[in-house]
Amino acid sequence: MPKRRTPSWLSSAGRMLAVSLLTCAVGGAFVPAIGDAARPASTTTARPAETPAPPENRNDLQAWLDYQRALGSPSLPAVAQMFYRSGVETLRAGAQEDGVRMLRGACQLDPTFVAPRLALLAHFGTRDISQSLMELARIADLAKSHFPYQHYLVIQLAYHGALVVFLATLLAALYVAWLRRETVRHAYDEFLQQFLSLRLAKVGSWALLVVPFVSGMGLALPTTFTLGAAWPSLRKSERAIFLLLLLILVTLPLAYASVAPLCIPDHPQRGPFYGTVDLASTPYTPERLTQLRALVDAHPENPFLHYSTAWMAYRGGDYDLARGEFEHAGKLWPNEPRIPNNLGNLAEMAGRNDEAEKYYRQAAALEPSWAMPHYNLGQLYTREFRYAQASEELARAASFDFDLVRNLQAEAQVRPGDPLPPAWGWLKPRTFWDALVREPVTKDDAGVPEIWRGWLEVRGTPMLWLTALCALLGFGLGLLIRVKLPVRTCSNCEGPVCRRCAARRRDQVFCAGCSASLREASTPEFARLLLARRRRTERRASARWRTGFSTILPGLGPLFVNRLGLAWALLLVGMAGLTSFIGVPGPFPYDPRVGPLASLQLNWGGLVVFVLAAGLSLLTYLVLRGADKMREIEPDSVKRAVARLPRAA
Amino acid sequence: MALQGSLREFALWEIVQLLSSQKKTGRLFLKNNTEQVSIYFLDGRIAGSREPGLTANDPLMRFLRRVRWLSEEQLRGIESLNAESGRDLVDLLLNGRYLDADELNGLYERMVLDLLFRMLRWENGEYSFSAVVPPESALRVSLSTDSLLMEAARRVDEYKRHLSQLPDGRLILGLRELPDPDDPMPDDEKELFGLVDGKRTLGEIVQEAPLTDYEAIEGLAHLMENRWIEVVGKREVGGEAPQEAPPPPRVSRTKEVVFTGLLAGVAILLFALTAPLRAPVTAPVLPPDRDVYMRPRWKDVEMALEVYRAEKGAYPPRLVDLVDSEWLRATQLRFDGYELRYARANDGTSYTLKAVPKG
Repeated sequence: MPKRRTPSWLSSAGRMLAVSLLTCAVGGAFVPAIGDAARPASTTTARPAETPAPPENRNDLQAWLDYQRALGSPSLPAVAQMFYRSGVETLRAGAQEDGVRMLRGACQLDPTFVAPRLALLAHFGTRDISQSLMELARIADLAKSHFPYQHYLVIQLAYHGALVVFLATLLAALYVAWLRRETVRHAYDEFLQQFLSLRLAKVGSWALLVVPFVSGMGLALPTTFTLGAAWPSLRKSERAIFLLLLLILVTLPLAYASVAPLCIPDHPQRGPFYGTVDLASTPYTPERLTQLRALVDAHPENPFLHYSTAWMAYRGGDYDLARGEFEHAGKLWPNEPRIPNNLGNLAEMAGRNDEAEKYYRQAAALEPSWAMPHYNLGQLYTREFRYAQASEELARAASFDFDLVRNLQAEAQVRPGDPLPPAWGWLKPRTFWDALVREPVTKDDAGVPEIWRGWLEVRGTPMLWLTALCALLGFGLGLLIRVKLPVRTCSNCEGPVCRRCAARRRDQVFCAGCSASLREASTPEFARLLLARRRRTERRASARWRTGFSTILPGLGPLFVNRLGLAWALLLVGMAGLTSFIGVPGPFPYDPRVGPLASLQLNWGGLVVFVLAAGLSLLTYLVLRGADKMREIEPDSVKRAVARLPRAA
Repeated sequence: MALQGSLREFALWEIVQLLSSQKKTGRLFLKNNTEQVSIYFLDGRIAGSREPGLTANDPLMRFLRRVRWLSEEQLRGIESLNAESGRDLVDLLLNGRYLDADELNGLYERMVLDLLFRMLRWENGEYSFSAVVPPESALRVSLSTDSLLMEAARRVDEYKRHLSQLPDGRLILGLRELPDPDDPMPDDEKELFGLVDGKRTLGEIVQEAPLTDYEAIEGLAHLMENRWIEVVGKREVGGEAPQEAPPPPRVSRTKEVVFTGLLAGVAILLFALTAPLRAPVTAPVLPPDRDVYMRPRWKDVEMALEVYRAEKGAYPPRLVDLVDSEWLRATQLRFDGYELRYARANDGTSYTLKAVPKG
């Protein structure tokens, strides 16, 4: 295996001078390094000639860190997992200092491993705000610069967002369907009475209403059907919720089909990335390089493969291969500045300084605000004792990307005496995003992720047709009910009535119970008294379960007082809290689900959000039901209907 | 006698227009067979049609009775008061607080409109106009004479159209739809709506409605146009009004059982037809290590093996050791439709892991 060339001519004094120049250029005041993890690719070094042996004591964190450094590997993910678990267990055992040390070690062993950073964030919490903020900044930095994490976050957010909107809308629609159930059930009841006894017709009507919901067809389709049937009696806001549900049910499979490539994790055998997105932080293995070379042969037009092969070859010390593949990639990506930068590094390592300078200049021209070629130029000039130019380039690099320069300096301090390594540029997340968006949908891509396979609603075109059919059937039934037997509400108790069962007083309709109260009364005053008593009884009975349900389910409270928009908003918040509490996974995870991550992770913050939403729901109900309560007072319609008794008589 | 003649030669509306344009004051007397009507004019404006006091045929009293604004009891009370004191009806209505001035004006206007509506439909008759001063009991109608005439003429035209919809007083009207709370009705129609019950005829409804004939017909025609009510039958001449509807016939046991069975059968059929939709999605076509969505789980297993090796120095002898050492849950080793085949090299430094289809 070719060895990395060490520039022997670079004296120790020169190195020190370069560092001091660098220090001057950036203002002379370095803060502790915080961005090293976020830039795993920029400072990696090539693999040493001989592979060191793993530490004897496998629980010795420092030994593992030394091993990693000796190996020149950007990460040791398996070892990081090991220390992550040890750190979590140690923290749980109460040994906070050791626990934090192990978690920090896990971060160092795998800078792209997010779980230990989150564990540290949770541990520090409000106890040590500065530490918490630092961890938060590192996670944010990782999200900014690391494509796999960005990809995971975007897909997770989209998946979670879609799920939350769908659940909230479905629940709101279910609530509405429950509130309007009598419109449909009463029609069923009246229809069945032609063939069945009253009692059996009532049972049958309930069965017809409930059976679709328990038939295993999910909740969305029966809700669509029921709301379609109740359409004529729905309020505007209720219709809006129904239409929103319909829209989601129709667009969910379509939207999913069109964004499917975005939801697919990187796979070693599938384009356009072929498992290369996290190559910058992956340890070198000859097998991986062989695999990449085979892929390059199979897909010579794929620039990612050329670039990745070049990257892996440089990491393995095969600089000729690296140079060849970088040049191939450069032909496919003529505007990618990382290629000339890395070629410049290879030329500089081979002692072709003029060629290296040309490459660095080319990289700087392609992306003038990118710090890395300026930094590398600074290094090159320093080695050539052109200190004025070196200072200028380093200052420029620091002005473009202060963190990069600081991290490189930190690395130089870790390995005193070694030459300052050139900075290697891994692909920007945007390059991956562009390719991902351009990737055409293939039949395989439209497959449903494993965790979505339980959803009826995303089963593609058949469900689309079924949704449309359910909605149409519901609308048809609603139209039939409206034409044949429109269901209204009793003017007094708001129970369902139809023209067959209603008793009328002028334009006011009364259900059988209220009508009986009217008949009992000998005077208008007594009639009003009886009606009011009946109304109060009915309302108090429903108020009890309304209060109960408002307490348990967010969104129900506002719904009971006809604030459907607020109900939907609270449902959104509640569902967001609930789903994050139970940790509804996206199409793929970011960190491997092993050790502590393999078990269910409850997010108690999510539960707090859910409880807050439920509390707000109850509060809204209790505050706003003042208006609702007012309806216990005699409605004007009843007053008019009863007051005119003598005239009608 | 200043002006007189036959209504065949001079139509009523022409006479009224003339009196209005000439700003005449006096009484227009109209006679058609047995019916006689006086209309007073004051400076060309219609000022009413009633005589002072309370005559037997007082048009206002008749109108109040027709539109049932006051109960019979109240009207009898007014009559007895008039008999005792001889006071004018308007005086009694206002001072007895049966009506306020606005209500009286409104009712008076409706009464005059109804009168004009009836008069305009006369084809024969005599008229005469005499220049007398209207009695103090005459109330000036707030609407101009031209407006009254136009409204009355409109009513005559509309009435013909309504009669084409409701041509026979024996038609039985029934309910088509219950009132919609979101679509409020005018008060007149509400009154009529309460009378439509599938038993009363059109004539009975018009008679019982607390409205003038025209108002009732117009209201019913409007309800019909809006599909709130419909004609449900026609009562034969001399037919009796139907009594209370008989209770629905009891459903036979056989019919009940057959229908229940039919419903259950349809439910079972639907359940069977939709079974493929409810069935869980089959295992992926590709093995877990190649399926893009199963791949992350596969990687979890591979990672667990690597972690085990990092921890113990060698790969585990069996996959279940990963579960025992709590690096994985047992469910993570299950892949739908596939089973995992794991083999470790003797020295524990390498392994092979395959997913083979079950069976």
